[in-house]
Amino acid sequence: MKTLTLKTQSSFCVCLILIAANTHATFKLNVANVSQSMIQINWTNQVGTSYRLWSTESLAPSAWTPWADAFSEDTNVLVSVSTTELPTAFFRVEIPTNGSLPAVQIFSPTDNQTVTGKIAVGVGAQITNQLLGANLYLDDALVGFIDSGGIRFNLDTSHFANGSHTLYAGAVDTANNETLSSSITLDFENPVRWLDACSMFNSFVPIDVDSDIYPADWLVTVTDTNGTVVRSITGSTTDGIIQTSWDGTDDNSQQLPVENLYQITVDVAETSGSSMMMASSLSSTLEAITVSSSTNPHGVAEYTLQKPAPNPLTAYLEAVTNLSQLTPQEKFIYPPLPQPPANNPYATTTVKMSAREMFLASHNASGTALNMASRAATPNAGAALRNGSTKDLVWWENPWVSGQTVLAYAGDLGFIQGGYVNATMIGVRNTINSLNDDLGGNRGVYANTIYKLSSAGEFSDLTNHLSETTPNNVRTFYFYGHGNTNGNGFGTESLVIGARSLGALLGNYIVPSTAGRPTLVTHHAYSFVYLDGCNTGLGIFPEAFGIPKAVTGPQLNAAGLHKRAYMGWGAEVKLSILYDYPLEWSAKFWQIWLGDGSDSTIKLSDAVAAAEAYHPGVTNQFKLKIYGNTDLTWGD
Amino acid sequence: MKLKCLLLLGLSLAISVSAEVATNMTDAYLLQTMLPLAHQFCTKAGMTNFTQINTNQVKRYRREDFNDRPGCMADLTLTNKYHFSSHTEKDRSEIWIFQQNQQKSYYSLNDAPVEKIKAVQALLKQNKLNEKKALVLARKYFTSLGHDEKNFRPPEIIQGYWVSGNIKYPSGRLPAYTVTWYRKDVTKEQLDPMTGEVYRQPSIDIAVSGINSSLISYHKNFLPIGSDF
Repeated sequence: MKTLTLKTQSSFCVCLILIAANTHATFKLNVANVSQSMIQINWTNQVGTSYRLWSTESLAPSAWTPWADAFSEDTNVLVSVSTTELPTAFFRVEIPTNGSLPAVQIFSPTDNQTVTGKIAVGVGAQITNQLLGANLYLDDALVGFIDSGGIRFNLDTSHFANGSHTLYAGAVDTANNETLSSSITLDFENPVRWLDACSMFNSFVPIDVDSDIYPADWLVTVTDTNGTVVRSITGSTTDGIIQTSWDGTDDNSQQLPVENLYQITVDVAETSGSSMMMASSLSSTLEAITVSSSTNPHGVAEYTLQKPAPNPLTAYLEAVTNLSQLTPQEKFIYPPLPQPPANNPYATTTVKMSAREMFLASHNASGTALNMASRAATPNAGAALRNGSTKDLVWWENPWVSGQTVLAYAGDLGFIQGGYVNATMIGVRNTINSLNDDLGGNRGVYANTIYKLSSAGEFSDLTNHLSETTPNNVRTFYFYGHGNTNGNGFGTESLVIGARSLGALLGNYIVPSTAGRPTLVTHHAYSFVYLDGCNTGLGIFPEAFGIPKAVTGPQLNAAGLHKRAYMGWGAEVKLSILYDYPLEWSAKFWQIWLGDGSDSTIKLSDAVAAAEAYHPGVTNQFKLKIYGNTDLTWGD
Repeated sequence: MKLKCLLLLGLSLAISVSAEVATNMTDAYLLQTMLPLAHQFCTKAGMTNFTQINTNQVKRYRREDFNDRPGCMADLTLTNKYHFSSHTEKDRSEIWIFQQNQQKSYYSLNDAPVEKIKAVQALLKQNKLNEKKALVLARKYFTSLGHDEKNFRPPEIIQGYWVSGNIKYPSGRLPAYTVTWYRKDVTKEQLDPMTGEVYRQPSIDIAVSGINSSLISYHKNFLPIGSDF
């Protein structure tokens, strides 16, 4: 067993212990701050290894519990740890070697537990083959996946109905075999729920929240990635139904930047009789001398409290008393004391409060809910009114229109195929260009070019064009060639383009699950992608092209997002005289979908069904997968 | 990896034989099969104004034979924009797609002027249906077109809507409803979007208009010709 230990405390690392037992391997753990509430532990990876992280809040005595397993395909393993979840913790990293495989399990929460709000689900995934990714299923529906790092999902239970739910995890190997854990049963109990929250939007976000607390006042706050509250919406409900929307503007009615993440928080608090406390009552509640308000640059109210502070001289004298008890050697590590401050029994301190904190405070919510311990602004103890909250992380996608098409095929498909592919590609190109001429748009094949990927060449020309938005608006891609076993690479037999690197190039990536499903960031989403090769429907290419598998076509439509679809095969595309020929199927599909170059209104699913009629059994035999809008038309 | 097999030689030769394509108004399939099928479909759907469809009403026609067996697929668009797609295997034929093409169940108005958005918004004032009534209406078409609800899972209904990039007019409903019946042997797991294979589950889609109760579209997906099973 190899073990490595380090301690994290809040946002900084306190100590680092390195142990390598029963092994010749040497590990070095590093830790870095990535935000105020997140640190990142990393170490050099042995590709193919699934590590186990254990944690304990104290070493004396220690109580080690498995936190999560971790893995990576890259040089380093990067594990993010929330210091909100674990303000102080020691970690130990091991490579389990003495268990029977496979062993996929949920470490936490535990079976039959009652949970509320956001929960962390730690998963252990030790399987025989190399780990490709881990999935989390709630009631048989996929609610999150992790393709690298610590397998610890964040699941916001307030996005699901109250009551009993079944949770299990799956570990997927590089051959796409999935090993499932045993399931556990959880009881969700949330007084405030946002059931149909969507992680992406175009111009507005519908907010439909159910509350068991009523009559109640509610506050919607929108926070940008800097932590600034940019919008606030208030209201009240007498029946627990809260329906509003956010239109992408701030409190000054100014449009906020698109292509950004925003967190929407809905707080609900039992009505106390009057909608807000009187100023004098509020000051008393907050132990404040004065309360004044102003607005931030987005027009959202902020509050400044003047509160009594300890006499600085008293604090200085306490420090002197402590210092007097130290030995000269111990005193050496202390800096010299400054001059004593003036005696000021009426000293005050200034505390800032956000609109959200003031809402909760004015409704006499609990100090825990306020999370203001460090600011000494915790309301007086007392019977807090009932309250609850729910959150959603949303990505504002810039509206875009469908544009240029890139066509490519692998150049090492053999003489017969190579010639045929080329002819087929030219046919597709001509069809697209013909339709483009009819429509009078700019949706021809990119530079009228068909890329022939050479096994000896490198792919930068293709990838550069795939990422191009100006001057050519590249939004459609068809590729015929090789796909690897896990569906995360396409290219030639010897060189592939990886899904994750392509996603990074396009600026499309997953934000770890916060709302019951991953949030997709899409700087360059595609209208239509068809990777015509083995297993291309199995990996994360849909996400890399900004077409999330977890978001359905109707959801995309309802969120006002541009229609988009991804097609790929869910199996090896075996070609022989005994099988139907998928390439002919693909050529037929293109011909039909583009209406022989004269009709751009045919639905994708209709074109697929028609192509299937010409070549029965192909979609079933090779498991054609379509994600996104199956009703996509070329004209969309 | 894409498995290549030089057995493709024979297949490559086979696929070089192009299937017969016809677009002329004197095509026997058009006259003897397609037009009668379209007429029959309209009659079943209660489109009584279509007592007869002749070649003068044809705007576009295309038939392509299968190259490996008897049968063909054909598309027919009339001058009034009605569109029919047929599927023939040996001696069995049917209309598997009908689209009125005059009303939509979804509008994207991203770059539309406010006037157009308001015009689409105003369409809802003409809506005479709600989900319950729309379901009753769709059921009428479903049955008259030869389907039996006993063979299907409970229907799912979605009201049409429009969306725009204008923050003052972000979205709204349309006076149109789409009802989907998945065949009863389709499992809940097969309808999970994450499978990526919902598109090929046997189903019937029917969209109806809330303005004049007409049939907007009909799609028969992955079902045998002439029957539900």
